[in-house]
Amino acid sequence: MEVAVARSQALSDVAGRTRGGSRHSRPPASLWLPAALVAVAVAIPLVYLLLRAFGAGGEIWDLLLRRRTLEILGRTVALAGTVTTLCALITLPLAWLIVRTDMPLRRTCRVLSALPLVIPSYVAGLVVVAALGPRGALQQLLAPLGVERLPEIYGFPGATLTVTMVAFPYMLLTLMASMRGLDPCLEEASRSMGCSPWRTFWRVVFPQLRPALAAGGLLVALYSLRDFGAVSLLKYETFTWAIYLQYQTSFDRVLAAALAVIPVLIAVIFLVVEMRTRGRSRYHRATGTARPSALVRLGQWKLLALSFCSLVILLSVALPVAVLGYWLGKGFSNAEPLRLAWSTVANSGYASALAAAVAAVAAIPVAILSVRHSSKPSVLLERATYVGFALPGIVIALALVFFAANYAPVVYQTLGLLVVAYVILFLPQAVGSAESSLRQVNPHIEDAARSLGSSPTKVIRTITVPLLRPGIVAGAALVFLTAMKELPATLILGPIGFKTLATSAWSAASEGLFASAALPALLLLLVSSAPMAFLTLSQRKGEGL
Amino acid sequence: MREWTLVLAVPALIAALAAVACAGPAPATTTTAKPQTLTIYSGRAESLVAPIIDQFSKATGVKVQVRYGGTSELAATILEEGQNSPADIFYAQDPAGLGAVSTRFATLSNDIVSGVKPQFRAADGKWVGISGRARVVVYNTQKLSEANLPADIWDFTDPKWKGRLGWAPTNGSFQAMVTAMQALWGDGKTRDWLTAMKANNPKVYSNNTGIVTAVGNGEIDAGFVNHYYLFSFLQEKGEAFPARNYHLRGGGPGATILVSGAGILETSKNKEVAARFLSFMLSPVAQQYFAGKTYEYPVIDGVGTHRVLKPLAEINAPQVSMAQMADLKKTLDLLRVTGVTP
Amino acid sequence: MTRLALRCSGLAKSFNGTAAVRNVSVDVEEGRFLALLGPSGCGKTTLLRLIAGFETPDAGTIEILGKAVAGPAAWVPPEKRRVGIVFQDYALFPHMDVARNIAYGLPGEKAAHRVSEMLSLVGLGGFARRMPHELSGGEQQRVAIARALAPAPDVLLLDEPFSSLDADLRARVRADIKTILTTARSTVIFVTHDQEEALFMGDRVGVMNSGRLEQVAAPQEIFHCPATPFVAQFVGIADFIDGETAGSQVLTEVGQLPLRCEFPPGTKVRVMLRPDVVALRADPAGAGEVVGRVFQGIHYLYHVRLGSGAMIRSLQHHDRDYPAGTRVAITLDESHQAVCFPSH
Repeated sequence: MEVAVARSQALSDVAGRTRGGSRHSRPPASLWLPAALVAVAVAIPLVYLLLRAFGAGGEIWDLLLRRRTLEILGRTVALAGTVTTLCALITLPLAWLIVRTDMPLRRTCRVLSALPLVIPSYVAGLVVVAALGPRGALQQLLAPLGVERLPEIYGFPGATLTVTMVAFPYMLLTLMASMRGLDPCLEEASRSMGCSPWRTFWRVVFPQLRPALAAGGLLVALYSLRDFGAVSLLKYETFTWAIYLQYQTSFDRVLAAALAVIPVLIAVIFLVVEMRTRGRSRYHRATGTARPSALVRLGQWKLLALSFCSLVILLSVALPVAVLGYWLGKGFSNAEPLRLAWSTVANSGYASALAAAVAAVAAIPVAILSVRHSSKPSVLLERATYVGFALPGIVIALALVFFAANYAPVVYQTLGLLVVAYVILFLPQAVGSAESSLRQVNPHIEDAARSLGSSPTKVIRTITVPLLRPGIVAGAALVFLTAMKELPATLILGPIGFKTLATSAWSAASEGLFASAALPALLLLLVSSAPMAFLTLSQRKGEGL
Repeated sequence: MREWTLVLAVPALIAALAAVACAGPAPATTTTAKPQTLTIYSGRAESLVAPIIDQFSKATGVKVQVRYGGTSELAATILEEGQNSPADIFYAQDPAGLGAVSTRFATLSNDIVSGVKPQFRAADGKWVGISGRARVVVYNTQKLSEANLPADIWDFTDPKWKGRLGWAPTNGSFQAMVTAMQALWGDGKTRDWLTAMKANNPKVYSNNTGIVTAVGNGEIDAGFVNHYYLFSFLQEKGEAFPARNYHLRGGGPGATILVSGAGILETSKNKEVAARFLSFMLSPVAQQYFAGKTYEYPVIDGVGTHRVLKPLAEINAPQVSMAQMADLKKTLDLLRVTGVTP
Repeated sequence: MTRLALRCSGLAKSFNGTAAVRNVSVDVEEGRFLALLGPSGCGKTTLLRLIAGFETPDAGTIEILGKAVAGPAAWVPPEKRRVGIVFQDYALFPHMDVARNIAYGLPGEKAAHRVSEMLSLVGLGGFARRMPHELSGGEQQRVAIARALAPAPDVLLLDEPFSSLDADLRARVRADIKTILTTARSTVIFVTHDQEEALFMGDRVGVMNSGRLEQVAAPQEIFHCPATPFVAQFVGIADFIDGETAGSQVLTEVGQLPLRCEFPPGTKVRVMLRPDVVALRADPAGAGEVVGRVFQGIHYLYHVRLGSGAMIRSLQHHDRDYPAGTRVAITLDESHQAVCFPSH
């Protein structure tokens, strides 16, 4: 036994050493040049924040050290922590039921449960208030039973509910991909050694899911740092809202920037924690694919499982669609003029598609550097791409306003700059997806190509990128979805008069014209569902994300 | 393989469509273009001001481009843009937004502003009010009537209002009202009012729309808002909508008249066209538009108010100058010290 | 006089302070096979990757056909070394069919001809349009070899090429591959942990242990005259008992054997015994006791404890049936010259 252990350690030792590909050779310029460009782009918001924050002088400390700031910090961390935990509690069983059991309607559940990703959080916020508010739709339904008003939804509970509702698919998608790739032999081995299914899950399955859980959790946690729509509508003051209020109430860019430094620091902590949790697990299958695992038979539990999935989908998808549909229907019956220019739909699709394409291309060098040429600078770059994802859109937008208007006026208020903003905001989704794809590519394949006479650049072009394609496309689809619903950067940075579905829904909603808001919001869901379907389809084939 | 091409085709198609759609109006360069152009940053909503801006365009042949957004985001944008701001005009929702960028405004000529009542424009001539709005108490008609409502905003500090009120302390108009309060009552009494109000635990909303919605569905009994939000609700939901405005009988800061307004940026290269635009907005045609379509108060003489509105003359409005209203610093400090805003 | 295809001198490489390759020097003549044999983690794969150019040596030089490709003053990247490599997991390009895999390293104009040449060399004539995942393990391997051979590399490296094949397939494939490579007149360096494979494939065999190349020699010499106890034990079965030299003989507790190498008389040595040198005979007064045996078909492999407590093994025809506990007399085949190592 001991010999066996020592031997397997030796094996994994060799594996660790040789699997890394030619990581000791220096990356070619075709990698680090574009990567440097990406680095410059992701550094823009940070440089801007520091520039503004250090312009403050002593006042900054008064602001940062106020008890109020600590309270906001507490609330922000509480929201991120609770939302992440809730998402894990929802998505672990959900992903397992969808991927590993014989639950009926699994495919439908798979497509529907990922759909909340395309619902803008301010729409979700409006819906939660309208449906679950003290005198919302639910109360109206319950009124005959003598329910006068429902308990307060505002504050922590409502914000947690809303953010969880829109963010859990981030974790669901990574978990489903990871569960699909699990080697059933390990589970069977554990069961055969007399472990109960429950013990097997915690001792064997869960540790293997940890990297996916951490990666998904990171996106969820960073998202809850950034979210503005839900927290402002549900009146839960996190940093994003506090930053926004600084702009709104005092027009004070300096103090706003000072406040924005704190979520950056929180994001850095999250990033380090995730990296630690993920550990050094860099695995890919040496040959072939895993034998697909047999589906777990649910038997009498089928109905309960299905009700659980239905409840999640009901709350996160059916409810928003129903409320939006109700508003729209009421608008129609009131004969309101519900006009929406086709150019609005086109703008949304066009700008988001461009952002998706650029982000996909930008993600390639970052992913290859961090997976194949792992070094301090490449890891730093990869982690830095996540910071944009944690920052409120308004901060990114103003950073780009500042740099572009003053140093690159030619590009200012062009579609190009808006696309850059989208890329800074959403790049990590593309990077993460490309990385997990690359980790599944055997580095020997690239080594073989090099020894056949291809330069590193040619290897990337002819081998690495074609093999990464599923991951790149899945990442692009994710970027497309999130760019579709982006608001603050679109308002500030878009070419003048550039209307998108998201801005139309927002401007109508901010005037209380809910019917006019419902039309673009529903269209947004409709247009987004194509890439969403792709994401889930590609997962069926064991690719992507 | 097939599946993906199909799915990829959808965004590609959209992109192609958009490319065709966008191919038309490329952003024109402002320096040499023959048709004069004007760039406006508008903190006011498109549905409210686009019709009147179009009218200006049609009448003068000036091509107008408008960037719509929140007043504060646009103010921050103008400040970040610095010398290279493409904006000619900043059209803001409230005096505070104008005040924030007033250092970037050029002084307006007397021809433009002379027709506007002095209380509706900046004393230094940096900006001018375009439409007036009254601070009111919106109340739920199923729970209250005007008779139950106090004469002065101070009286809402009575504990009997505990948990029944709504306010939006981060909203520019609310803050403007507090500024007026400081001018009228002094800092001490204003602070007492804020503290006492806070003790009454009012529901916090992010904007006026939220308050009117909440009053309408009975979440709260009454709230402090601008007068015109109610009318879009009445339009959408009909006369049965159970909320109405109440102009405080006793006047005071709770009945302050505020303005939306605009100024011309110092960095504008089209100051002459910009001036024409402001003159147009202050002309009877445009003022009539605001009175008729957005239920706001005209800022010039000779234009009547909407019949559903209480005429300006009947409102017991306090005398506060807009110059006093534009400087928010003291108000923000007070709101922060009392813990009303973060 | 044949040219040297490859010369490594004083190669060293460590990862994070752990030495993987220590001071390795080896030459391979053109058209010859060198098998690198050693346990997992001994550094043989790292040596291969150094030669291929996937790793840079910390010290030492590598020359291919007399031209330095790695060393203090030279560095030729892998794509310019003309070194082919076949990985244990084949590493076929999964997005290309067989023909495109093989053509990958070829310049455009001659590719088609060379591809069909290679396909017939490896006996996969009709497989040009197949995708890698449609091939069996053995077929994938032949594609990998064809792909590596197509550009006619100066040196071909094979990394554990047979380890992912089933045992029965392995023997057949091994012979096929040897024929293919001999036909192609390739210079081959090939890494394995399987001694039988190494002895079969290699013109010469290099045995590696903890980063060191302990011996490079013809297979027979490796087996009969191992340079170190490690080589002795790793290649074939070997037991060691104490002995002392006396002239051209070495004396042990079970008899004496002629010495293969010179030692001063009276030197304490460890004597290597292969099981086939040790003969057993049932004898109640014998010096050894059978403690166990393994039935191997034609033979029994007996484990015998000697009076000193040392354990040796003996290979006996299956009709010699000594159950455990039988006392046996031991004789050594004195026609064998004994390999001895100094005691320490």
